Amino acid sequence: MEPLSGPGARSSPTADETALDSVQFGEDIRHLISVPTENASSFTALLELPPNQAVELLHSPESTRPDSSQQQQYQPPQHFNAGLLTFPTNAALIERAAKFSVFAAEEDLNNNNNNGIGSPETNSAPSNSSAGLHKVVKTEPAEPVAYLNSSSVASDPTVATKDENQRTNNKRKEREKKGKGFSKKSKSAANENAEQLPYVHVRARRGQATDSHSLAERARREKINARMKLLQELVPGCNKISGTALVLDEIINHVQSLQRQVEVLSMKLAAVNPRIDFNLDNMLAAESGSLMDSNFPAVMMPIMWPEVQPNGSRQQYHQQQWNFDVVPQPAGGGWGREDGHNFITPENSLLSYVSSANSASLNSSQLKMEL
Amino acid sequence: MRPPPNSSSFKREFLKKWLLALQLCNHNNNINKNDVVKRKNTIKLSAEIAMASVRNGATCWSRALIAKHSSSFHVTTKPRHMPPPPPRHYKKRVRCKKIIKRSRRCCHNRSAAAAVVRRKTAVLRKLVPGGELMDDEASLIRETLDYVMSLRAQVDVMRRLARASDCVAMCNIV
Repeated sequence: MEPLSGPGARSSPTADETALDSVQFGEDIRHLISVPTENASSFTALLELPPNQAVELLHSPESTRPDSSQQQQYQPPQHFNAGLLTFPTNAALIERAAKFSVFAAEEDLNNNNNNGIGSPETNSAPSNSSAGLHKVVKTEPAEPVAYLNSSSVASDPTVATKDENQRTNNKRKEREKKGKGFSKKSKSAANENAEQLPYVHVRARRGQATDSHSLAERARREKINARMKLLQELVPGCNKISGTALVLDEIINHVQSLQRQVEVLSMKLAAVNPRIDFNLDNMLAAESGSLMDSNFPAVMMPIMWPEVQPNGSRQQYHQQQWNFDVVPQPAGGGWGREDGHNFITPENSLLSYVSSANSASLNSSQLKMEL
Repeated sequence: MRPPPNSSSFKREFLKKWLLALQLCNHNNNINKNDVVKRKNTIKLSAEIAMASVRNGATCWSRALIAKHSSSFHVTTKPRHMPPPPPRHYKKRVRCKKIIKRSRRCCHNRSAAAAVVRRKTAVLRKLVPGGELMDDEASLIRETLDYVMSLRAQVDVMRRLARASDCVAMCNIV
């Protein structure tokens, strides 16, 4: 992400890569448009990206951008290709998705500047005047994204030196409009995109079988391996181990230890002095009174097992019980199990103790933030 | 699938739902205050259900967990007909010893590692709730990822709560 890196950093893509990726481009566009659902979790989206490719594709557009304002007149086709190249593996955009709106806003500002002050400037001054160049350079990083959607604009990169500036201005406006829309759906779309990727990328090397079963099997194995690698990074002390069996062992141990910890902690909480009461319920009631009728009982009845469902009275029961617990009197609230014990006033409740123990202020929101 | 649990918001949600689940448990079956084991079970049950419900049925393990525990939540109103038990993949098959020996001899080197991996995958499948229902290894690993993240958040919240209640107890004594 260094937009000011010199022209020497430019890395031009090789020809076959370009061809391959432009083939995949259409397919990815179809994925983009057809299914913009939030289907993939971001960490699973991350893993399908081969790291070196991700790095390369993250950096190549930025490194191509800065000097392209100068070279735009000379080689626009390559410029276009470079913008296109970033797309198929644009799962890398997931991290940058949050920044797009910022870029768009920045671009908006710059564009306003250009329109207000700079319209004579852009007409009169050539593109290598320092002020204009800086503006162009600043706005560059959003461009490859914009190119993806505005294919009609990008499809005619003709060579014209005179009204180049005017045209880039116009282009930028269009891109900006589309870029904003793109930034909204880019996250889910890119996730979807990344979910589809391994099937696209599977290719048989020399000496490998090429029938569909072998290819599918290889794709499956690669997916499993990638996920395994991610899991390996997640589980502590599992980084240096190689070998599926050992990694699985470590994972099993980790899960078991976590489950045991849950056991121990619940034991500890059960054995805790029942005089202690929590007024977290009041806090909950204050902040979300609608929680009781929103989704908890509904969640209790999963879709997969429909015989659990027809239980409308449960919700009412729950609601009544909530009202009984929280609204009329504070004495029965708290832990549910530990009712009937004396209620501790909010001054010496759990929250104040926790916060005083942590030497923070006596604020329930702070506890929540800490959690 | 929803995005993975973001730590702070996930924990907050979990805490909320946990308290709700505790209330629900308490009112469904009144527990003797001195029975520590029962109370522990209640706490654990409610915590698991809360953890699963925070994921909101987006993942396989959460659905399986809720389904597993849903019977214990319906003490008063029993379901009319029980769901058929999930198919078991792990039957112990009775085989002739000779055949086993021969098979080991013939392809020992190749399949030994694979067998180990298979065995461990089976163990993992038993650990992750709903793992028996997944016949795909990739989805199993994905679910495991999600489950581990959620478990971590749960353990963290519980630990904080335990520490806090310890603090309160100490202060009450003093």
